[in-house]
Amino acid sequence: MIGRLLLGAVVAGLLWPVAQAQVGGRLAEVEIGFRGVPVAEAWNPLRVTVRDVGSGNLTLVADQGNLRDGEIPWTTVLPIAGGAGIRVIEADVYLPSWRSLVWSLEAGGAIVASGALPREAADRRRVDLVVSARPGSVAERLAGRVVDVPPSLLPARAAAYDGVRSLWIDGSAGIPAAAAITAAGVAGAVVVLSDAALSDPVVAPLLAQGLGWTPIAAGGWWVGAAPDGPALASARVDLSAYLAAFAGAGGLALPRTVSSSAVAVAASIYVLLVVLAWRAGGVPGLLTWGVLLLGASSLAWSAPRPASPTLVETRALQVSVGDLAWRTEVHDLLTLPAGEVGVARVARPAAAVVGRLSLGAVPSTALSLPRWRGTTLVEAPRAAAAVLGIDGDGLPAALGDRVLTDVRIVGGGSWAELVPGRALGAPRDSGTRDPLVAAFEELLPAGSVWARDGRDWHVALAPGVRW
Amino acid sequence: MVNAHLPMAIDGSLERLRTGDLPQYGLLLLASVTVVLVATWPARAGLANESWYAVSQARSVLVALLALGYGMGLATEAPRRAASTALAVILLAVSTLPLELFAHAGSAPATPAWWAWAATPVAAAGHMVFGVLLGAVARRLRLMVLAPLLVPAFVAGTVMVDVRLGVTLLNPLTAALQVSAGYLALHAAVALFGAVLLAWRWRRLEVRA
Repeated sequence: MIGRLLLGAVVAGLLWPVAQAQVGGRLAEVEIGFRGVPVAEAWNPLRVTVRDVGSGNLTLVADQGNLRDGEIPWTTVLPIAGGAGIRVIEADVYLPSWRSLVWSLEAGGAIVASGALPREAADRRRVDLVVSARPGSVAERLAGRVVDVPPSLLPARAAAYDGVRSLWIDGSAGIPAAAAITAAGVAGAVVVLSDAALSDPVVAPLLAQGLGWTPIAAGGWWVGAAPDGPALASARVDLSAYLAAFAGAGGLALPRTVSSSAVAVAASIYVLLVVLAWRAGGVPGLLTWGVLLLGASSLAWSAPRPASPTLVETRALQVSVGDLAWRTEVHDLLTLPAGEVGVARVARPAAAVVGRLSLGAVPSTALSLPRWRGTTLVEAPRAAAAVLGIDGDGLPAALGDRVLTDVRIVGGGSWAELVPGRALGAPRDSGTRDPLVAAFEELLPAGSVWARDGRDWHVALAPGVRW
Repeated sequence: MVNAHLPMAIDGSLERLRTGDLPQYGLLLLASVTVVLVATWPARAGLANESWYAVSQARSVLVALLALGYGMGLATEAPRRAASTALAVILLAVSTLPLELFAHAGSAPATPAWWAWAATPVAAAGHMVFGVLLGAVARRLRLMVLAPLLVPAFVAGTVMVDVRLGVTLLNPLTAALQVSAGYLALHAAVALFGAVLLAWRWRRLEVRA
């Protein structure tokens, strides 16, 4: 009897940690990327499932550091509205190329779940999503990072597809929502629809232009002979390159300061006047000295001082085909004192820097910068209404009510402005182009159109299939 | 007691600034800070303005050296002249502040601009009292001939002590760059002690007379 009790106790003791782990595992599940396959240097969908957990925060810390610079943590904080029962929270998070990536879910002052992604999972290659009961056939064709996803898991947010190269739908496993397919197309993914999927009432309206290639924003959908990996690679618009060229063409300059000679003259005059005030002596000298001190201090404070210690300039880049556009906003930041600077937007840094993204009702992105340093924040991409299009003759067409300037056709003519509702005049002499602008234009397919709206740039891509 | 003597001290300090050696040292101080300001000011647009770091430290150390130097001789002066000298040195130290403010406005450091205005008069007064103590020790040891070496050595010593302790309490070098309540409090206490001592000496002299 005692032996059995002892045996029971030993077995219970051995199984207790397992049981605890299972309970812990049930509290929260965190899935980064589609079906847990993340893409480095891209926005990824994040799906958090919590069970009977109070409100708290999910914190992801990706260390982008290296041997030379040490740790460079990029922290993302997502508020979790917990409670009784199962709750699913979805968001998009940016993952840099990480050395280590750890996450923890804190609720009620305690860590209720945590995990990590190995360094080997930091793969920058875009994934191919397959919505099919037979995903193996697509995997064999593409030989890439193929992820089998059920249609219900596809979000209707363009940012979630930032790391997606293609989306394959054959109808055998169901059809995703039209909004999800559109979001994938807007984000630049090539949506490959099989013939079997065409009969679905969700897909049919998407093919209003007929079979073949239907471009939309930065991507589009294809109905026809299934493309292979190289074809998909050439079809996907390299939005990262566009963005890099766009970001490089702007940026904030350090504030113009007072010249050294002006400083020398002003300081010398001040010293001379102070000495003269002392020489005057008595009450007049004291009063003169006081006035001089206050006046010089006032001038010294206002003359070389920049308008603001932190400068922020926002520019937008829109890439479109048709009425929908892929849009992102770039925030150029420059801080004179060292400290935290940021914007109240969901954004990521263009370069590896210590920063923090707080998601939730009032999102914010903050970077810790040394003094007199500038950097760039890039917002998560989203769908927007296009303001620039290409008409049937291949000429620029205004789709909104904005007057666009510096309108150019890649490999064609250019115009000073494009006024909505007014016919396009004769093309002007292209003249000399800014090298940075020329570098951006060289990335665009021939026949594409681009124009400026203030600091914003709008691109209407040539609608032809790209393979 | 101090209030009663203040007008006389101010009058004397203005006289000290008008004639004698103090205006010359004052001009040297202002000129030195100006040279540092111009030399460290960015030569062209697009360069980071780091001038404040050099200007504030140079100014702080030079003011400390001046205050310590004059402080060493205060004990041998008559109370009225000592008070005038002390006030004159403080006025001189304050005169350098617009130059630092100019560098501060251009450099935009994280340190608030008010710090120099708060610390300078207090630190100058405190350093003068330290100078008095240093002078007393030097006279006791018959080392007054080494006064030109003792003053910078004292400043270097304060830097070493602070660095060793990991605090900013005594040295004017790191105190120029960061707000330090301890530095301000210590120098204020020392300055107050010196002012009370001076006023007591002055009062005692008047009673005797």
